[in-house]
Amino acid sequence: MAQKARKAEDFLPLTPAVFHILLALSDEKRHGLGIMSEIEGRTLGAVRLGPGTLYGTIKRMLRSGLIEESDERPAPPDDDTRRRYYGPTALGQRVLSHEAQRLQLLVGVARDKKVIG
Amino acid sequence: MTRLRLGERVYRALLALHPRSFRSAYGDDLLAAFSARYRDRHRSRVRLWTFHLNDLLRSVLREHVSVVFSQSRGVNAARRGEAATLGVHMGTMKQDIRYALRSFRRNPGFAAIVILTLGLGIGMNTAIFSVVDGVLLTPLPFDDADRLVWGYSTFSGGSNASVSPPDFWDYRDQSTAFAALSARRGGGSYALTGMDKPEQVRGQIITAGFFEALGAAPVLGRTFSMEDESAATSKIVVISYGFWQRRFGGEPSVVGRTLTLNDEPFEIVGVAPPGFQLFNVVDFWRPLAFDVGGGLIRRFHNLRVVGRLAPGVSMEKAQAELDVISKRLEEAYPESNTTWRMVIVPLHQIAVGNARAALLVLLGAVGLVLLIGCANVANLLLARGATREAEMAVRTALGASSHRLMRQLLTESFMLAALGGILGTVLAVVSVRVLGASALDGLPGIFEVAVDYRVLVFALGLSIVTGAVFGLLPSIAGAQTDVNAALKEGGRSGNASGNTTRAALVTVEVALSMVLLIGAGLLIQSFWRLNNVDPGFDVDNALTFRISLPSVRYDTREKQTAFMQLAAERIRGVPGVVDVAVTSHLPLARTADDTDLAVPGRHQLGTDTQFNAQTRAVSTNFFELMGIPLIRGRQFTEADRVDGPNVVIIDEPFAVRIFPDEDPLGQRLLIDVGEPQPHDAEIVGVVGGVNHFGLGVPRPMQFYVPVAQRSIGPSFVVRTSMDPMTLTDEVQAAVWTIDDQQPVTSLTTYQDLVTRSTSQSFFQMLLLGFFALVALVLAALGIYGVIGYYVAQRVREVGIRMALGAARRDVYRLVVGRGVMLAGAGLMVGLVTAFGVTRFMASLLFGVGATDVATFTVVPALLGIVALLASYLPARRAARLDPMTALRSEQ
Repeated sequence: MAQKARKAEDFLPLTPAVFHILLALSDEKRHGLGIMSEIEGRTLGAVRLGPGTLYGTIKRMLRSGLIEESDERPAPPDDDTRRRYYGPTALGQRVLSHEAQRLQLLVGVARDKKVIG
Repeated sequence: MTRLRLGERVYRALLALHPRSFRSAYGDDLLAAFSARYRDRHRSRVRLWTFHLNDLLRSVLREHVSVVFSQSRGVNAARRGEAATLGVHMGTMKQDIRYALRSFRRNPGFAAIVILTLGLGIGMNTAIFSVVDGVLLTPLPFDDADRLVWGYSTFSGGSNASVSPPDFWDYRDQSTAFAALSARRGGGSYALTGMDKPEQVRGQIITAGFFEALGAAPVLGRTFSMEDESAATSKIVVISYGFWQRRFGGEPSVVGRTLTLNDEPFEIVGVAPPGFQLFNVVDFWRPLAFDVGGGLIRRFHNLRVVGRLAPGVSMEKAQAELDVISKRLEEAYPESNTTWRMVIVPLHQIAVGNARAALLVLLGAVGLVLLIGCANVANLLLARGATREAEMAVRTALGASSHRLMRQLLTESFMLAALGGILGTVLAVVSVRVLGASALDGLPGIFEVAVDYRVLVFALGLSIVTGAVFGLLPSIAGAQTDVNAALKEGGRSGNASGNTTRAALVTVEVALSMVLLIGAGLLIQSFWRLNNVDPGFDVDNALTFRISLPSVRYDTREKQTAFMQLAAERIRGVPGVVDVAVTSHLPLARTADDTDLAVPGRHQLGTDTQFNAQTRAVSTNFFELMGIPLIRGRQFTEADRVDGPNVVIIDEPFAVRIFPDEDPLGQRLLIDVGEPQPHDAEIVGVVGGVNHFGLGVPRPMQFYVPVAQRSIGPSFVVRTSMDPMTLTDEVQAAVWTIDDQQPVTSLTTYQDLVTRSTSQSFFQMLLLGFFALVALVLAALGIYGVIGYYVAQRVREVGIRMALGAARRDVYRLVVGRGVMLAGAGLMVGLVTAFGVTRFMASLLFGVGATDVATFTVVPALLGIVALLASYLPARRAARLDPMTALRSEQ
């Protein structure tokens, strides 16, 4: 059964896990472990995705069409043939962009109210 | 990949908890991610595992839920390998449910009956079991209650005596089998004065270790220690939590304050924790003084022992040790201790007493109702299954797999069970609330009754199993029939073996109902007889109350007598009062006094010529006021004063038993044998007997002494010319004109007192009667259902017969005859079973034998009539058939 095309706005707001995964995949195709270490590294350890959560979310994101398995693989010897690499779909990129804008708006409000500098 | 380490293998094993689809897709990745972290030595193991276990838990739950939902949304399962590795397809489940609901709507009667039957069975079963469980099976509300024991004494003359204080001291001193051993006397009534409101309070005398044995720590202050067990230091009390809240508003400064009890000062040293009570509800506890008065006499048996076994010690070991000590005491003190020993039993056994028999009977009853209910449901399901053979055949012909058909039937059965279960749960909750309140009346008030979920689940499970098994049977049988043949027959012939099963089920139902009905009948008769017992005195228009005269202010008999006479006079002055009498113990009230007597001159004084009788002190007008007849001799008069010769009046049971061939008048009796002050008295009269321990218990031997010759805490009986409850205020006021510090307690009409003594019996009768009724209804429904089906099956046959000239009468005979046969078999079986079973409830019956002829005739007759009626209705339907329609019908 074909999925109905969905609008990016329908996905907002994103759960933290989805957001971080999309963010991690926005600049480079990665495999699961790579996503986990990218997220942990970028947030300086504040966000740690467990394997179960990660792959469960990946599964759902694949189903909703936010990411896809990528045919591109890094050149060997960096390539690990057993692993699957993921990358964002066009929908995924749009959704990430919308979510980032939404957050930016909120941060702006926080600044106006002197919550943060 | 390198070999997996232990931790990794554990993780991999846990991965198996995920749904298969998820595991096959991502299992390797998950393990790899875990391994990467696991092999990184910098990470703390503990944190690693907590993090990953947490993560696993969440993902397992989420994946399983998502599988269920994704199927129902009909997602393309081919995608991403979440393929059909699952058994149940949710989409078709919805179809099944819709189909089931449609078929219920087409046959609302069927569905309603099944749901109602299941609901009643489940609800009642759960409710009763919850009550039984709450009272009979629940452990006492103390820590490690199975280590608690209750101790009492046995000797050659009796098996339920108390323990004497010096004996207890020795047991406590010499035994090592107990973590704590303590004793208590019965509760006593004390007048609390010196505060803003005088009140009668209840207190108990205990030894040190009482609280500790039961595992309770005081909320304030301390409990008693062995140093307090001496006359010099024992004027202290620990008050109960309830008393503390009620009289002191929960003030923390209560420790150290003084209470004036019976005109003596007692210092409060502690407050007990909330809810702490053992059998009697008391307001305070005070320590037993071993070094004075009764505490010194080895022959005064007035203590009951409460103890906690030491860790690792069994009851048998403890009892053996006690027996050794008992032997030692026997040798050391032969006059007082010969054949005496202390016996311990689990505390729980004492708590429940004879409620056990009643509750077990009820449990049996409700179990029967559940069985009958299930039989009914089974029957109905089988019947329905059989009638749908044609439908099944059609569906099979159209391509449905038998697997599919079975699932359909299963769905229906489960839905019925579910709906019945909901109804049952609601009924259970409501019933438990209602029953719990009345069941606890008369039982020690330390139990709480709430719905027992294990039973609910069990009953639900039983009905689901019934539904599943009997819902499936027809389809399993149907799957074997020749589809062609079934289509041609139009489903008429019915499954032969199914018929027999159903007939058998109905027979069983009728038999079980019979047992229940007979049981209920016996109890109803029992209660009726009990209620009509003549107690031996006049109960109407009488008000009763008690007063305790504290021994400090009323220290001589003269003062006591003067008070009582004055009070009687003042009360007589109240308009509406006919007369007032005084006694030490009211007949049928819960207190009593007994003592040992002997007839001087008859043989030697030994344990076989001694006998025991109840005793009561009464005012001179007591017998007349109470309506107790004087049979011989005279009543007490003013001449029987405190300094005059000792006189007694005996009652008829006493005279018949002790003086069967001689005139008791003028004979002498030795009273209080074995006590410190035995004395003898002359018998001056014989009166009629009265019931004392209950209407169902035979009248005990009693003898009376004049009030002037004994110190008592008086109970007053006021005979009125109008409704006694209208005079309560005036009567109390009359007492208070003499002494306004006198609390008036237990103010009630005599009628209420008597009713209270039969309330347990009433409750049992009510409950069993209700069950029997439910059973009757269910059995009737069962018969109706089966006969109805029988008729439906034979519509064509009936049509043929009628077309060939059979009269209506013949149709009736055919159908009703079949019903009678079924019921008759059940009646026979039921009668025989009942004969064997009612024996077990003999202890609950009064005035009625377990094989009472009247009950065993009336009940079968009743059931027979119901069976006839249940067969008659379908017969009528059959007889009304238009032969042409009947012949044409497919069914």
